[in-house]
Amino acid sequence: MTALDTAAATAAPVLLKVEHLCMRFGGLLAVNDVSFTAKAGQITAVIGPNGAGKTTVFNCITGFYRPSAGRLSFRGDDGTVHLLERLPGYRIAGIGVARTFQNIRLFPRMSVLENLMVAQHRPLMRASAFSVAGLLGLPSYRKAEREGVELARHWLERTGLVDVADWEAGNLPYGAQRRLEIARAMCTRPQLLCLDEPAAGLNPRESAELADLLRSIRDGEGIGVLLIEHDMSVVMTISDHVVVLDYGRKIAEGSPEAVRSDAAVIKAYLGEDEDDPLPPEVAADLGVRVDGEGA
Amino acid sequence: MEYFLQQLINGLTLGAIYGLIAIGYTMVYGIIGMINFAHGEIYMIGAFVAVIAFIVLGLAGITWAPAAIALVLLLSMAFTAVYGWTVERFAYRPLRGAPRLAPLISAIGMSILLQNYVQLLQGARVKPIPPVVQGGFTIIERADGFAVNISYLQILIILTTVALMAGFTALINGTPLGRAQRACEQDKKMAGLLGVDVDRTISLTFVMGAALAAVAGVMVTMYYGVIDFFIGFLAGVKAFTAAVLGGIGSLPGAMLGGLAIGLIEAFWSGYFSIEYKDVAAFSILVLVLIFRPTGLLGRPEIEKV
Repeated sequence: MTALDTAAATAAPVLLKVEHLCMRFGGLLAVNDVSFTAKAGQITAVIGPNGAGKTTVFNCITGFYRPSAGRLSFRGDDGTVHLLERLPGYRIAGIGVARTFQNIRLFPRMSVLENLMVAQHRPLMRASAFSVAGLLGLPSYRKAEREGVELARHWLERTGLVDVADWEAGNLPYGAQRRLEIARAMCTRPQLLCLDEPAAGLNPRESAELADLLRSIRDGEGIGVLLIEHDMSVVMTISDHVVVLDYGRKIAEGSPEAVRSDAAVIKAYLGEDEDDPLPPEVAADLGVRVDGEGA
Repeated sequence: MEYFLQQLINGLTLGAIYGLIAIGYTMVYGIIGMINFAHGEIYMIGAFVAVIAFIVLGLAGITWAPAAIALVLLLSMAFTAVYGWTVERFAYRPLRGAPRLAPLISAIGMSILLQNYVQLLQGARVKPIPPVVQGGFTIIERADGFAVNISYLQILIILTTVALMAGFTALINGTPLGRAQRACEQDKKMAGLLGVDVDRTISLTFVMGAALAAVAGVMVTMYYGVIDFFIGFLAGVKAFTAAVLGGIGSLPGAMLGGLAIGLIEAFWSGYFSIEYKDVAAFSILVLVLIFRPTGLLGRPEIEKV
């Protein structure tokens, strides 16, 4: 990254600001005081070991969960700031946040094209005057629907799914279903695209194609991408900013290079260093005296 | 042969009416997976609105049949749509996410409530109206004087049903609302995330089902000329049978099931005995459930692990 790029990246407008987010399930504090920002034109990755609270953060952002505490402010494309924690789920799509799921959630018995048309429900519903115009086949609605199909076609081309547009979504191969999820999310015309492990279950070639697609979305559409991912080859090559969570807390944040060499991150992923004190019970078995005990 | 033809015409008329009611069951089942047992009552209310409207229009001097029927249809559909919306809003929506049995009990409660409400308000006595549409064609007349007739009313019922079915299929397949309904059927949460207002989509499903039941109610009122507060029960159970027979959740299935039940009833009462026509209809249901549990056009539910 050149100095110029860095300057441009820092100047990019903040899309999503997560402040002191906490999510409690009974006695479990799944997300504890997490703050970070996601900017337009950048890929922000959220990584961390299993159970670190990544998906919970996503569920709060997209309205699946009501956060126990904290604030999620999102700047819509008209500049107004929306507080996501106060909006019902179906409104969140309307202001420009789209997401995909770790386990694929397409409409399996609808065609590929129809999956993309459902994603444009709000503008089409408005254009069709609650389907009255659609039923009568009025020209105003025909035009809106043609535009909808055009947008769908654009994303089918970008994701390489044009040839299977008439298939039932459930019959697509796995990698294609993953791409269709992204295409469908993009058809809501989002400002922020949230992807929950988009590379899970993909082979290396498909992962590389995914990375290209995400890069082209970032650069072509200029929108923000928020990414949860385990596949480090994807995270490290395409992210502009990485947030690391462990046990619900943010333990590090920064560029991919900085995060990769961060001591706390290495500890979270690989465990303790050798020179850390042994757990007491192990020490007792080995007959070693532990500092501060048995004195 | 002539007798067969006559029973065929009668059966088709009856089947069209059952089909219209069955669509309400099948759509609601498709979208929220519950049997709306109050749906038969909605149909009964549609019939009552029709009787009242016919009388009021008669008093107002609107006696030209096409105008009167159109007005009555509109009034009846509007009223029952409000009932359908209200039932969903107050009896089912608070129970969304509750165990499946809870909304079922609520539906049965709603059915009893509506029946008694109409009984108290309108009295338990049978309500007659004078025939609105009279006359018909004689298709074939046999030498011994037996004639195959199709009345104008039967033609009206069958044509209305066909038109509504076509409109409905277009709505479900070709409009954003229909697409949203099919999406909600498969994954409500995801549909919500894509900007579909799930609660409103479900409400509209109830409204549409109720409006179709109202059409059936108006037709029955004109066809038989008498109604009472209890007609919703048997018609509801028959239409439910039709929906299950066709494959619950499938729209063409509901229509096909309705026609099948109507034809079975007509032929059974024509050739065997009229007393046992309900037994025949329900026996068919039992047989279908044993040998083809998903119904004629239903798709088997495959559980993926």
